[in-house]
Amino acid sequence: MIEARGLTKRYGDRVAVDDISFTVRPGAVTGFLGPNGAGKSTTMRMILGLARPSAGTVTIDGRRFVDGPSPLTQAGALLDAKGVHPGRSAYHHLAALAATHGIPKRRILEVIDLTGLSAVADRRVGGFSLGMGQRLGIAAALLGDPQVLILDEPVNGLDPEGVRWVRTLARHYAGEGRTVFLSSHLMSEVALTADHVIVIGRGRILADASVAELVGDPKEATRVRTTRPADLAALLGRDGVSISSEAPGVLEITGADAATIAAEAASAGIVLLELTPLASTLEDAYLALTRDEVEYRSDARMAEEATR
Amino acid sequence: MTAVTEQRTIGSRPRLTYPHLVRSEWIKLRTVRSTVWIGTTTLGVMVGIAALLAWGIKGIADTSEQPIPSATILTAGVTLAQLALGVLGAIAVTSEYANGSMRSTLAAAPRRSGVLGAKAFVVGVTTLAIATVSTVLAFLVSQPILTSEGTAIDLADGEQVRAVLGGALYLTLVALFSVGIGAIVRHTAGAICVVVGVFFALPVLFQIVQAILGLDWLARIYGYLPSVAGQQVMTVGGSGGFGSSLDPWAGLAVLAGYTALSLTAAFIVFGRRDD
Repeated sequence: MIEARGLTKRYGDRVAVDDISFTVRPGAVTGFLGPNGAGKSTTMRMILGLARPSAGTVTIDGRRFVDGPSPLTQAGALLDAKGVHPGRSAYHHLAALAATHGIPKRRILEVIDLTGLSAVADRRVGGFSLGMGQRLGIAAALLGDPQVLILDEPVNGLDPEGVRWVRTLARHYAGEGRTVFLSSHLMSEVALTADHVIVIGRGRILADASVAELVGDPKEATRVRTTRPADLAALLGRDGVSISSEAPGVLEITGADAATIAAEAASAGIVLLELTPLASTLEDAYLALTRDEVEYRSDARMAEEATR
Repeated sequence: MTAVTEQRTIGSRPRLTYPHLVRSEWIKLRTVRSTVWIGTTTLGVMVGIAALLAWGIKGIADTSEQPIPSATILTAGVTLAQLALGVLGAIAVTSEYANGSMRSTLAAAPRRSGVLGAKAFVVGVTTLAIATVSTVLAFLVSQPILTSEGTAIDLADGEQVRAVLGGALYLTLVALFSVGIGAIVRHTAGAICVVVGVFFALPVLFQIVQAILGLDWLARIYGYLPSVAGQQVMTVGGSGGFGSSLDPWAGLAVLAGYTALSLTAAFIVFGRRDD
């Protein structure tokens, strides 16, 4: 379990992480979603004691990561796949990390095998592809067989088979009652892997909900194609219904479900050529959330300029 | 990468301890090529220069009024070897910043002072070993040449033994000083500049300025420069040494003081910084 309370990180005047609080629960995969520069990596580095919070606290299973007697078994992390000396072999990189905790050679060979690196383990890391580097980073995270798995952009550079493997691994660890916290800027990836999503934008938490809750937001729209769009718009034009048009003859209607639209159109004699309920995806929800955030930012800037 | 089920043989009780950190740093140091290169360079420079000087003495032994003390021959390579081992100490830290592996290290071992302490320990022991082996080899190579000229090093002569062993200690302190600089500066090029500047360029600069201006107080400061003071330990035969009025061991102690300062500053900033 990861618990952040009032976590803040400032770099000079810039606030990278702005007073965020959240809990990442065991037994589930929690996605950490946000555009680049939103504060995902900074937050993960603070969890691991790599960055010092300007304010607030963050604990793993009740204590600060740096205070535990055996950090590698408490939490394993993939932070930066490039964080390896290019002149060292994959095996020696893992051996050096394992040595800090006296983890035996057998375990090193196990994680090498598990991540499919057996064939290249003795090769110098400098020649690794991005995907191989990513696998090595995941191998390092698994070394201590940790209770908490923290993965920053784990599927970056992986081939489709590798992506599927990471997904299975994350689900497997969560299934064992462990805590899995993985960041991504790919909504589709999080939707497939995570049970719970924390969305961050500009250092603030925009949403903290289950995937189902986020997707099930009552913003369901219906696409309607008709020969008489203006008449249909006038017919449905009432409170709580919003209508937009992206192409001639095509309306997107929210606030009235497909059955209502069909009934009213029939009674007015309007022919409908298409009537499609548009299921909201996590991506829609995510874009809606971050769009608001961006609008808020530019509004604030304009207001500032207006007062000058 | 297909199976997820796994065995988990992580040992009975994994623990982050200082001896474990030392072992980890030793694996890191010995598994990169630069360490091997620097070790070989040091050995080559120390042995090569000693052999060349010993051989060169043949030409001047008869004419010179004051023969070169043989311990000086052994330690002559130190001036160059210190640069190689200084680089070894600096990049033991800076290379982890250059390629980002410091993050992997600290994510596995978040006790920062322990990490830096283990690094300094491993670099210190490794340097001492390389320097001692180099000196002994230089001795073995130059001795037959010197003996035939009648100026062999006398192992019963405490002064000569002090000079030879002191040279190895001097090199160790230079490497440790550089570990501190590496942790403070964090950039390879910058750290090497500082180390070369302090141990190589600074004394030369002082000598030039001194030759022009001839200031007394400048000469006194010169005697307390890290390299000048530290190299006092290698003086033999009361020859006035390397331009410092300090006793041999006092000189080495001054260098040890600078090293302690560098490492203390390094522990403070390394402990406070992010990443």
